[in-house]
Amino acid sequence: MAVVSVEKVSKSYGAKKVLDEVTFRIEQGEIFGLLGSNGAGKSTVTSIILGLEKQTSGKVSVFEDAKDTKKRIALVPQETAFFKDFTVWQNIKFFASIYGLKKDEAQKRTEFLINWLNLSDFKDTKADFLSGGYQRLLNIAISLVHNPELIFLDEPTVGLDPKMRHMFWEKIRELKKEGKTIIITTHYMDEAEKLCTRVALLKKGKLLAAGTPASLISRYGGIKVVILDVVNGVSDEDLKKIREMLGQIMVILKGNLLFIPLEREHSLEKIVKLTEWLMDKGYKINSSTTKEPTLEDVFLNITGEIIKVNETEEAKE
Amino acid sequence: MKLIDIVWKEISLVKAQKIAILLIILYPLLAVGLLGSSFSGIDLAKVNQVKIGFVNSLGFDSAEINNFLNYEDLSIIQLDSEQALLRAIKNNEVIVGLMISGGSENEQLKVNLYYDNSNLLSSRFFMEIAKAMMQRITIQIAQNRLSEVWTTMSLLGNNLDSEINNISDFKAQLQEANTSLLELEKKLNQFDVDSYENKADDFQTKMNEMEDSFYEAKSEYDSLRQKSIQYEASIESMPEKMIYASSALLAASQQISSVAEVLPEGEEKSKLLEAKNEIDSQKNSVDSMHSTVLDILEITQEINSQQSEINTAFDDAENLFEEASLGTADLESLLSAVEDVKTLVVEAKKSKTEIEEKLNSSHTLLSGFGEQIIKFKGIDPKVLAQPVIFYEKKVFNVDPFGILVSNSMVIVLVLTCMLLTAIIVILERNENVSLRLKMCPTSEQTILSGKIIGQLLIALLEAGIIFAVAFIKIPLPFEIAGIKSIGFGLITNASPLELVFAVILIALCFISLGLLIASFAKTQSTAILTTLLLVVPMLFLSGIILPLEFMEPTMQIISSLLPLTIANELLIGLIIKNLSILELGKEIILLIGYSAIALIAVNLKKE
Repeated sequence: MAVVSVEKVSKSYGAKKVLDEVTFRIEQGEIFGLLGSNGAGKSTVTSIILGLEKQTSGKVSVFEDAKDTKKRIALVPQETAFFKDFTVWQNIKFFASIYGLKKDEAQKRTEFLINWLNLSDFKDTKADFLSGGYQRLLNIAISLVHNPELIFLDEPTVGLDPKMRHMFWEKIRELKKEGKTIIITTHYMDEAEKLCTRVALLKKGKLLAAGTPASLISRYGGIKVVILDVVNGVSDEDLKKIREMLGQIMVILKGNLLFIPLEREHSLEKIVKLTEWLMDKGYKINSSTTKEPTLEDVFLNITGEIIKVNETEEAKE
Repeated sequence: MKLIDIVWKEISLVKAQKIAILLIILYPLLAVGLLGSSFSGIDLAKVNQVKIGFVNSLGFDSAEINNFLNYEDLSIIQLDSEQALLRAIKNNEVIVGLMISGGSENEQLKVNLYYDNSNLLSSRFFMEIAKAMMQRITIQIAQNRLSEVWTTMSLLGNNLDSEINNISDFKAQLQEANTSLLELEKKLNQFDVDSYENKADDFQTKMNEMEDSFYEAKSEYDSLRQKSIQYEASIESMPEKMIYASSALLAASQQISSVAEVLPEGEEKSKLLEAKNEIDSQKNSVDSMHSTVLDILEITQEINSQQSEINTAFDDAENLFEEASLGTADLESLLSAVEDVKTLVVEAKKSKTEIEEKLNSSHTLLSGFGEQIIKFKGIDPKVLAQPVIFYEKKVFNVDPFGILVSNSMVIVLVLTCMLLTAIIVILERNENVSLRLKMCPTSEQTILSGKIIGQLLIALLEAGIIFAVAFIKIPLPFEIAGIKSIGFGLITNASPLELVFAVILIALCFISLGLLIASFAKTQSTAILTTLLLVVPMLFLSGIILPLEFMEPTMQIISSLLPLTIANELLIGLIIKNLSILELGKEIILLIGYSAIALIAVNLKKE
């Protein structure tokens, strides 16, 4: 049963087209990942599904019966969305009321969420005084106060420490077990790879690929990659020569790292010769590693961009 | 439940903002305190036309009114009655009203000066301006009038004193003449002419009667004399004849007796005796007559002996009668002369009275004229300096503090409602709460209503603080820095319900404007600046700080349409002018209109 159905949805702001006939379906109980760089259209399509924006064309349906949609949908925004001057309890309680829960029901649900998200010690603490991680937990708690069926998680683990991140993953998996349908927008490819049952890759408003992470890796992940860590990187001229030496393959330089796809025709000998050539040219190589294809590679291969490292770094900053 | 939670949330959010708490507490106190202590009057040399209502109920000289009308700085609006004047002031058609209540050309004009004391500054400022202008005009009028009078009076005055003296002398002389006349009249009156005339007439009549009697008596006397003479002649021989007759009778009687003696008794004898008695009787009569005749003869002889004296007496009497007749004629002539004199005296008195009346009239006129001159000469310089006495009358019987309450209230409401609403909306937006609210199943109308009601409660709290400070007066047991009580104890006839209704309307308008600002401003600082950008000009154009009359006419129209001005007018109307809420329909409709427009704009912007 499709909880969300997006058919040939386009969205334009004036002459600028931000979504171009995007089509996908999300079934109940799925964890669906929307992946894409900034400006890819993730937020726009999410807003359209949430009903915050209207598509220019195409069709979007949420829940086949389309009854009480607002009561069945939740958004966990990337930025915290609560009253910083309210306590944890006050915040959850207020939104429980706003979502139409009766007093007793709101009380129980608030207590449940506080316990479930390990916020018991902070229930009377002002939200503003919570640490970043707990603020994110409170953010989730408020979003889930009405026990929604469809949950949107926007970059849910950005800025969290690994322990907290894993806890988040665990909670998301618990929600899935409860039969909730979850849509995650994330920059973390590993997160998407580990959590999502299916993902969709967007670039400049177009849906480039959709499927399970495994199928996408298999199809678009490509081969292994040798990564050379060259001190101070290489010059543009030498990068051009390297591409000529290795033939018409995608050799990418990002910072000091030189990514060289290890295809069949690339013999190990050629890599050794390249290393020697670089060293002869005066370059110093710190390390040389080999990487297996991942969803990140899928993204790289499909979009031609290495956004993950960059955007993750930005997010961490 | 939802609504209550939203309201509670709204209040809690405001409460959580330390600056908001400060604003809520300090704004009312600062506004009341600063306004109270700051506005002690503004001295501006020039203002635009001051609208003055003029009631000429005493039919004051139209030329004087024209003097006012021709004065450029005054805009005179002539009204029929005091009621019309007060109504015009209440409706802001005029700010000062004049009503001439008394006075004459030579006295200070008495003018009731009604002034609109519903505005803190105009209550004194415009009244003084109007008063000064009118005094200037009236001084000019008075000076012109006095100059004319002075010139005329000076010419006449030179001769007046001597003229008055002459008249006084003449009057004195006249008085003397009058005294003499009165004395004469008195004497004449004492001389009873009529009485004398009557007496003279009586005397004349008696004299005439006497004269007639006299001449009759004389005639009779003469006749009697003649007869006496004749009788004397006739009776002169009678005694002898009577003696003879008596002797004859006696002889006859003796003879009869002798006869009778002889005769027998019988009839003949009786008849003889009777005849004898008769003869005896006749003889006795003759004897008696003889005696009488002898007396008469004796008297006649005596009369004859007195005849010359009688004739002399007759002659004297005749002479007397003639003299009396002449005297009577003289007396009549004299009485006639007295009558003529009396007539002359009456005519003289009449003439004198007429002259005196004329002189008195002239004297009165001249004296009045002199008095006028003396009066003008004696005019106090104060009268020249102040030809008009103004009786200041406040149109609204209120404590000026009531104006401050209205002003404070609207200032506090405009600042807090607009600022707090805008800040809270942007706070929600910045904290992404607005996104959540947008996604929740609660309707936007409910959320908006809760927000507005929450802000309204805060506004009412602030209004409550101001009203409490204004209306309550609690004496302190001791004095602190000259303060003897808490609160000002303002008295007003305004209905508490109407005041609350007005505060809600005003707050609603400003909250709506705050929402509108928040829908455009992205940050709190932008919202604050935007709010101040709107509030500060509104404040200066609202008439709270500077009177509207200082502004150009166009600006006055713009000002009258500003929400702050309207809000202030609404509260002034209730607290000061004692108008009912129904009489303030225009203000209420405008405030509701602004609220509706702002809320519609907020909705359109959201789309």
